[in-house]
Amino acid sequence: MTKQFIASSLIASSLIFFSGCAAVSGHGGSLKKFNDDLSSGKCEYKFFDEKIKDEDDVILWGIQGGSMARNCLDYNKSNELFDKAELVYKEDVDKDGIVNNVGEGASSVFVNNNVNDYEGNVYEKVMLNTYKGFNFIALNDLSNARIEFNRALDRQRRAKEYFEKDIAKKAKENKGKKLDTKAAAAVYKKYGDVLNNFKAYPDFVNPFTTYSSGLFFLLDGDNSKARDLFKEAMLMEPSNKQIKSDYDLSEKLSSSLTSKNSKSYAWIIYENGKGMMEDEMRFDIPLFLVTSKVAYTGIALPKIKERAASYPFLEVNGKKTIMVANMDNVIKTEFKKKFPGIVTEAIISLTAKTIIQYQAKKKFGLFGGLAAAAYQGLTNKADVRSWTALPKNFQSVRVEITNKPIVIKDNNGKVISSITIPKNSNALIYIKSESPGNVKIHKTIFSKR
Amino acid sequence: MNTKQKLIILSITAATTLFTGCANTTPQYMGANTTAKHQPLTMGIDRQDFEKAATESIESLLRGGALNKPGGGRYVIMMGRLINDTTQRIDTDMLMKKIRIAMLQSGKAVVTTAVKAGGAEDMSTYEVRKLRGNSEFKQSRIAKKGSLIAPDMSLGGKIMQRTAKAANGNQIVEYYFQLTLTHLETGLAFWEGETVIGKSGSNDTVTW
Repeated sequence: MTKQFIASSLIASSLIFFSGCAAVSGHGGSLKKFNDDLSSGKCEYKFFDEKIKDEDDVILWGIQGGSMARNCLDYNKSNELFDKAELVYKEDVDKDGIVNNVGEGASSVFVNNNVNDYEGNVYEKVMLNTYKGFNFIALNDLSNARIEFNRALDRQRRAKEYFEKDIAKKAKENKGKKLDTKAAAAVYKKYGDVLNNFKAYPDFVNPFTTYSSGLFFLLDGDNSKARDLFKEAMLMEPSNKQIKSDYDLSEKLSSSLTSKNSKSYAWIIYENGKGMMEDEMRFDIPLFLVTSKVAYTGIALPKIKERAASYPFLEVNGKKTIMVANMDNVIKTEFKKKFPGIVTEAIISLTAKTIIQYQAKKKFGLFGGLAAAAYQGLTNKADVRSWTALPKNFQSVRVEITNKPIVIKDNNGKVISSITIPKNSNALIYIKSESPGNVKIHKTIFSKR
Repeated sequence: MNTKQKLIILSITAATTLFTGCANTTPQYMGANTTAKHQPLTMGIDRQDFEKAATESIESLLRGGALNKPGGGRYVIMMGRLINDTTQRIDTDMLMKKIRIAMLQSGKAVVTTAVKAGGAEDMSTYEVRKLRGNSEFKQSRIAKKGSLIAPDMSLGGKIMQRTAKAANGNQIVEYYFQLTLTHLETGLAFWEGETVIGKSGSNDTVTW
């Protein structure tokens, strides 16, 4: 019996050993550390560089590191890290689809998804190019900024067909597998609050990308392209006064004889708070397996949770910023779309492991069963990776540039910053605030085109 | 994921692909380009595309007679803004240089490097003028005031991209190379040219 126990334990531990620590520990710890570092204003990139060099979750640490470097106003480093992530999206993930490839599928079932490389969410691909666009703006490299906004828009266009194709593929793939529907029902019951009661954006668009691309093209003097994009953003956010006002300006400029406006403007983009992130949720679900007897087994699944906002709005020269995109809703929309696939994969994994446990007990007795149970317990870990540096929402306001400085105040009237812009230029002031008191300001002056 | 795991996964994937087969999704030219000597290597803009756009533009420009100066002589051309409105990081000089060379070789035009959208291409013209009054230099050899020639025309344009998914599941990408030669005295466009290059290929990943 002891011999059998040792044998089973060896198999279980070697499976964990070869899958790496992430199989047991998950990624929650490293993500928490990153979030703390980001909030404290840390500007060290060694960790990200090493992760990328080791090809260990290049996408996750490329996007997180890129956000940290952007916060530190180190735009070249930020773009370098974003570029590394983009390359993997392009070379690996795009070709994979959201469906795990053969090896990844097996790892997910017999270990868990934490051992596979992070493949990201579709909204993250769109945001990656959007941020790169803003980095190039800050570097005054408008030619490259244009390319990035064009890429972000193309990523957005691809998003819809991507989902249509991959969700269908995933459903087809899972069709032949016997899935415990009662178990699935138990899971959905626990997720009602996350999956419902919010305004989903149609076709997986992110109005911020469309709006900010429009803004870029307007500042670069491409008024008709700006007008088309603002129009598109208006369709996503029909009652939004800021988008409407910017659309009107682009319309006026595209139809006037001179593309230059006699007035100068500053746009203040405000990135508010911390966006939704994934957390592990564990609960028992009923599984009907080899016997007719119901076995309640613990399942670990990711669940998205809301995080705090910073200032509800900013006040710029007496005008309040207006929300142009709710990032939380973008995240929720995609989570909802992907959730059936996540649940199916988790239940298949749980079922497989439970069957192994049953067989181990039958074959190797109590100790075999115990070893398999220990393995199942240890590897019952949800994959909670996501781009945690994203905000809760994006806001915008436009003010006219006069001889007086632009005064930016928080919602309580406390001055955050006072910025002077040369009168004959336009300006983009990009503000990120994760929490009250934590404010990063990026300023770019545009010569009028 | 370590190398060993990646190798195993790679072999399984390779075997799966081998047994399931796959559709031909290597990039192909579309429309009139199907007669091209070589098929494209990528869905992006490559050397062959620049060459085609440049050759067509030059032919059209010289054939159209826009550079035939009444009374003879050569026009002075400045390089205007060429906007790269695509998703590709490309050097637009790859296109413009070919056109400039052809214009010079035609004997009908010269290009100024002293005036350009975004600043002079060669600052030397201005640097040598800073030597005026410098006793170390023979002043008679330094360019005199009023000797720079202002351009007669400006050559600018845009490279645009349109991407879509075709009915057969492939990705279609079209690049529009649009150029305009503007007569600076009158503001009239003396010549305009457009070359369209279309490609069809896999929709698995993006075009850049």
